Amino acid sequence: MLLSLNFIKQYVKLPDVKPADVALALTMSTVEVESITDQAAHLEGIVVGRVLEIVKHPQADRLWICRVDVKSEELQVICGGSNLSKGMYVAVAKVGSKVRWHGKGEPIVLEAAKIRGVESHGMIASSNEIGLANLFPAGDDHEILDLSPYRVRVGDPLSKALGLSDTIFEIDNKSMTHRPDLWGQYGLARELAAIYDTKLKPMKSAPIPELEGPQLQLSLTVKDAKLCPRYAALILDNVIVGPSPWWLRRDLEAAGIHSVNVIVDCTNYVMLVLGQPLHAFDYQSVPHQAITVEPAGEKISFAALNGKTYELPPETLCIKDGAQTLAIAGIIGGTESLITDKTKTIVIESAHFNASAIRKTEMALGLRTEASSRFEKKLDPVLVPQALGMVVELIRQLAPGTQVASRVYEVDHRSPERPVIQIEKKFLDKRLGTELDSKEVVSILKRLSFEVGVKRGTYTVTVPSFRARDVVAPEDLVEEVARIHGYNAIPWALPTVTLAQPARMLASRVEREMKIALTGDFGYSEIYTYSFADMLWSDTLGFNRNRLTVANALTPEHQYLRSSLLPSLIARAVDNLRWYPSFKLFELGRVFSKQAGEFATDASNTSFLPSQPIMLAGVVVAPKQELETAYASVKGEATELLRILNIAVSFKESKQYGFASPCFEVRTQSGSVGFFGVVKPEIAGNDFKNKAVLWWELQFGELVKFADFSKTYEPLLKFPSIIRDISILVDTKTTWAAIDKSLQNVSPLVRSIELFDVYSFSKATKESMGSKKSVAFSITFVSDERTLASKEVDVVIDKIKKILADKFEAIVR
Amino acid sequence: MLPNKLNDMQDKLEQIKKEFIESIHRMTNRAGLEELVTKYVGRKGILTQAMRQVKEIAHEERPRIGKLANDIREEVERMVKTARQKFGDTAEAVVFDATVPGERKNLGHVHPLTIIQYQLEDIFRQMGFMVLDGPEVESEYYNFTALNIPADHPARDTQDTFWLRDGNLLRTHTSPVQVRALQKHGAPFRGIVPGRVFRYEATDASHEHTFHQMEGLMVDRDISIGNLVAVMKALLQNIFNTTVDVRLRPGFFPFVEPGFELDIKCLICHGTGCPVCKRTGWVELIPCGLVHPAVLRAGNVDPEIFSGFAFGLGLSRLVMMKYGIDDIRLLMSGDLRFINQF
Repeated sequence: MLLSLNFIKQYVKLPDVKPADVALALTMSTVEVESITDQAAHLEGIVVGRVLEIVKHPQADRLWICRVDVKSEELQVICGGSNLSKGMYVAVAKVGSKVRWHGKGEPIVLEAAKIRGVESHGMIASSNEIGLANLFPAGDDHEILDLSPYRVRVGDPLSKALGLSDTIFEIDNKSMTHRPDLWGQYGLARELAAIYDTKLKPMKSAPIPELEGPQLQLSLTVKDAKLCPRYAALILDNVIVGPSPWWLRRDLEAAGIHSVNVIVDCTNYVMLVLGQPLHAFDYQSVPHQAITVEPAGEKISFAALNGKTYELPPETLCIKDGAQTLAIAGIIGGTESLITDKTKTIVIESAHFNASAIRKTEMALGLRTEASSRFEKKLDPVLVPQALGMVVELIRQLAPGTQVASRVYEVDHRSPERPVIQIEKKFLDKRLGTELDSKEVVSILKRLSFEVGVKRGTYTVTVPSFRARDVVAPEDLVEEVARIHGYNAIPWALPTVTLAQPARMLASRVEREMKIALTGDFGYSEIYTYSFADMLWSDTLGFNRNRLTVANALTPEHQYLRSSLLPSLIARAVDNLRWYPSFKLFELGRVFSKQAGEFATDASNTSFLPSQPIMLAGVVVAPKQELETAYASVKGEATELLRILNIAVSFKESKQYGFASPCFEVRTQSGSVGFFGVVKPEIAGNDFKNKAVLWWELQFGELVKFADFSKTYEPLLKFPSIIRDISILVDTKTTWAAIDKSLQNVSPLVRSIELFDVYSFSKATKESMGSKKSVAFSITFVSDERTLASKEVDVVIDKIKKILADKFEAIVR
Repeated sequence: MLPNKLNDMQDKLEQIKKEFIESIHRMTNRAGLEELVTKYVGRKGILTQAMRQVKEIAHEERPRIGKLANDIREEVERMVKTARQKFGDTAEAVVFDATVPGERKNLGHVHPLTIIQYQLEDIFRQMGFMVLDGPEVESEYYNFTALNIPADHPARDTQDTFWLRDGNLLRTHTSPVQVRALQKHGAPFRGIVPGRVFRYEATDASHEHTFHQMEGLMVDRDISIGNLVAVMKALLQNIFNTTVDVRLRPGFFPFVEPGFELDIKCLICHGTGCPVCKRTGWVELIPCGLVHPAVLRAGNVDPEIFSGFAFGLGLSRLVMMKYGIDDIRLLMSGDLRFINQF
């Protein structure tokens, strides 16, 4: 919203402060001022001039050499104005002033110049060259601004001559959605009077005169008192609908509202001042002379003043005359009842509508107007008669001859709203964190128009009607007092609290341990991807079932929530291949499915939100020829991550994911906690040409469930161990898992068996070797009772060799 | 050769050995050791010369004396080796170029959002706050209604919402966890909730439909505005590692009363005005306020007994400020050229 400082000054005697100080005061105590515009600033160096002489430019058909009086001197100015005439009062942009060339682009500094050989010292401006096109619409591009109709003096700065010396504050609308009283400039004046502790001039209007001519007929019926608690209407006759006077056009424009005609302008002006929207109908468009406020009842088409047609849902509250819909209540009027220059008789409406209903209609129609954006804030119903009185007074003043042609028809169903709130001094001080003197508290509340009584440490506060909707509890009064006292005048102190048992935050610890390991020497980079599914890779990998759908997706690419982290990780891997030949990515994040999960939808704990477990997943991209190493490394990492959490795992080949081969399930004693494997090359496709793509995923919740950070020290070995290496040749199809398994329980002396090399022979060698591979592993022998003798170990080794030879036809090398 | 000469030779060798052992045990430094080595086993060393004399010994005795000499030589060398190790064995060091760069370790990288999140978590943990988590797909009740934002409240407009077909929504803020946490843990309570939030909003360099917040909530007896400011100041001091000037001004959020915007004095221009602070000298940083009694009630906490404060930190924004990141989209891009800088 735009606020005029000149308006404020009419009602509040501000101390000697700069506009920036006023803006700061509002920002610190009431609402945020987003910008300050000095109207005169961009008119600097532009003065009123009078054209003394016009001579045709010898070198140009459409240019004239003008001699212009600007009081201090006479200037020669070349001008192409189509409406130039001798004696005309014009706006002269002197050398050094800023103008926008033909009304376009950034303002440029005007310099003395030769135009086709003739010197020109300045410019006779058109309205759009000096940023006044809205106030003075020009007929064509070559029309200059004619100031002759205005009372202006030669030589005066244009800003002074036109009264364009206001300061305009732009107020952040978001910061006052809860303050209906601030949607009129008078409300902000009231705030400033309270902040500066200075007098506020009351907003008075003359009483509405009795009938001034023949009485015109009108009846008024409000069918739904809940949707329209208060409605007032009045007929004005003999209205001359002409243009508004200059000051009104100027003040409306300063607030961002374009002038229409004097009647519409008057209703808009009252809205700007009080915040109460008004509406004027042409009486001719009310042939039944029976205004009814009621829902549309059926689906209808409505042609609105903004030139658009709306399909109104049946529950839309309308202003009707018989079957004819005149307006969508509180939002916009119709073309049928439009005020034109032929209008002679008008009906003025001042009403109060239910804010929620207004909002619903706004949403349904996708339409928000100056009026509806105020009604939806729950305005003060007391404004209804006040605004009506003010607009009648203004119209009678600006459209002389206007006669009041009816009594005020009024329906008033509202119940009086003046909440009374008790607030203890102790409560106030505790919430502030400081003790405030009662005198100051009372003064602040009174300045804000609250009535206050103090008795035995309790304030009894009566809320003014215009604050009845946002001040309803003691907490609200804490805010009122604190913001005027000054939030920054409150001393700070760290809270004194009861110490509590520190919470064990296992999930948080598990998260950090996992990330430390992954981003340490595992060499993973952590990425964050959207919670929306990556469409392409979800389809490719088969993660496209049972997904939650976004009803209002920004783009079709974001219409589902992800059911796995993998598609996005792979998609980001594709992106990164442009810059890196190989890398490791991981993400920790939620995935979503339609099944009910653990979080309740409300306090009753009876229905539950969709399941949204947290997953930890990684993708590894390596050169194709390094697949085996990469695989071993991924498997090792998965094992190691779980080892950190002290979770014993086993791996089991799985068919869970068709896109992967091999695909292994990571299992604990209680079941599956994740998967890992290699994405099939034909599925990874051309994006990963000559690359191996590996992936793993772990259910974070399961990790937290089984994580155990407790450790027990194991005594160091008392006797030396003996380590023996064995190297065997076996068929390539023989798996390590099988070999390892065959050697379990071979002897109590065997402490561990560790694989350290597998070598498949090159093609050439293969021909001589057959399909064999070399497998090398080392065996550690330990006894807890004695130092082992070499001979004891030899016996076991022989036994092992025999097992290997029997089971796998292994050739010991 | 005569037997006595033989004996002489044997004695001589034993004598050399004895003297050598005595000398080497007296050695205190490397230079002396090397001198000793030269003296005994150098080209003209005592032991070297004695060994040359062994060749002159009678044929039949030569093996025995030769073995003795060799044994002594081996022992000497062994002792030299041990001694050299004791003093540092440069003589046997491999010659290499010490100016080559250190080996590049392929360490991974933590996302900058995680870095800042952990930093904040640590600060709050020291103040006794829990770290909590909540659902990203949220119900209308927890995202709005329980936070004192009824269905037709204009404040819903300021939080453009992604709705799901099933009627739920993507949370527009981390605030729903306020009510969830109070319902679960009761009062007194201190906790923070880092997490991603969503707004139905077109994306550009300064707007993202997905960004990160950290909600904070403290509920106890007699929590005041002064307490809120003090905690925020402590937090900011810790984040920016410098004294931070703050100011509190009115801000409207339905789930707090009173509600504030907490601004910090611009760290770039120190309040004189620059493009970063839009020439105001202040940067809007933390929306906050005293918890609205309706929210406490929704969390089954009695507002007659308890009061509290809540705040919302823009994690994404903080990360951008801390690292000078000019495009918010990088955070969710998964681009390693970006991530690997951290």
